[in-house]
Amino acid sequence: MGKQGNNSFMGHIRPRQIMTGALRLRATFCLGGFSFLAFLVLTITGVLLLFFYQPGVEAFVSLSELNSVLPYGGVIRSLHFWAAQMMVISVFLHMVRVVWSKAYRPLRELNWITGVVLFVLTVILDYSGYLLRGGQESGAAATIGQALFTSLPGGQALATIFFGQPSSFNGSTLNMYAWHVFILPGVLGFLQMFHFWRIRRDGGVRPL
Amino acid sequence: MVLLKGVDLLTTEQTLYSRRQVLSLGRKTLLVLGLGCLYPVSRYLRAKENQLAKARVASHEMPLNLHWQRIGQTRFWLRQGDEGVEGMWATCTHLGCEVSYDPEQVQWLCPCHGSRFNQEGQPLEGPAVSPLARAEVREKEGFYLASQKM
Repeated sequence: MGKQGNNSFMGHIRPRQIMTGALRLRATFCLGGFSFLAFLVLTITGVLLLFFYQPGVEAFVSLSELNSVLPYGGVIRSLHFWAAQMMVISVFLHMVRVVWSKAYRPLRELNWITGVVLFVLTVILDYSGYLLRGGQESGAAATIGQALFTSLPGGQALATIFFGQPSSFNGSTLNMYAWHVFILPGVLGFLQMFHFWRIRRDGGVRPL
Repeated sequence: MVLLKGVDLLTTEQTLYSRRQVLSLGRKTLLVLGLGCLYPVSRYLRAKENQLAKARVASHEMPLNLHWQRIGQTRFWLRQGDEGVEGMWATCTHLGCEVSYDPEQVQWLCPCHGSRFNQEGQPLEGPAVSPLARAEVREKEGFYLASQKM
């Protein structure tokens, strides 16, 4: 165990005392906790899907086989899909709760901003997962996303970074794959830890 | 409550279970669930995805004619051709959905994006542009042995 000083991460995650008001279920409904649970399920099932998913032109075929041929493949894929939908919903409800209980006000405004970034990242991850299926609908969704990007100033460059250059070589899911399985979840996981640490620093809820 | 004797309780309410007991039960449940996942996960990881498909059916169970017929629960379809038994691997060449043969239209239809193929598997319309893949069929000791080609 690392240093347990007043500012250390562990010292805040497992504090000696907390405020009694934060103990009530109605104070939070544990919606942030549900979101983190969904994130854990997504991480585990996502790693399992990595073993068989192939980005690029093979994407749709590999998922079709994963669903119908591999033992428990369909279960793992469905868990990944539904956990993703639950995470978007619970993160949204979590934000509604924070606004409702006015928890975004100083001193906690930094954590509110972090939370907004986390929400945006969650939605982008959900969207990029939809594109990774490589089906016809994914192509339509990617077209809309690219149009949204290019409407921004300097958006053409952004769109190329995020979506990649469509070619017969990568079937245009290769860039999205890098974002979806590595970059975005990495940033999300790091920001989540920061988010939890700030909750405790700002006098928030107890550990389970 | 023997367990709570001597503990300075914050409330005077009698509780059935202590917080510690509930959490320990939760931890044990997680452990059991985790162990229960080991078998499915190992089955999943040990699966050989890239193995080519194979199937066999007794020839007396499947009298062949000029129309394609499916070997149940597989993607193999067989018919009586001019030079013996022919096999088809019923996977759309667009995005890999399972196609099925409609004897009334004498066409292969893809349910996903509407590709159509003629009886020989040549593309007629829809997003698919290459013909359906044939399967290898051998007749051996009263069985049809079908196998997917590379």
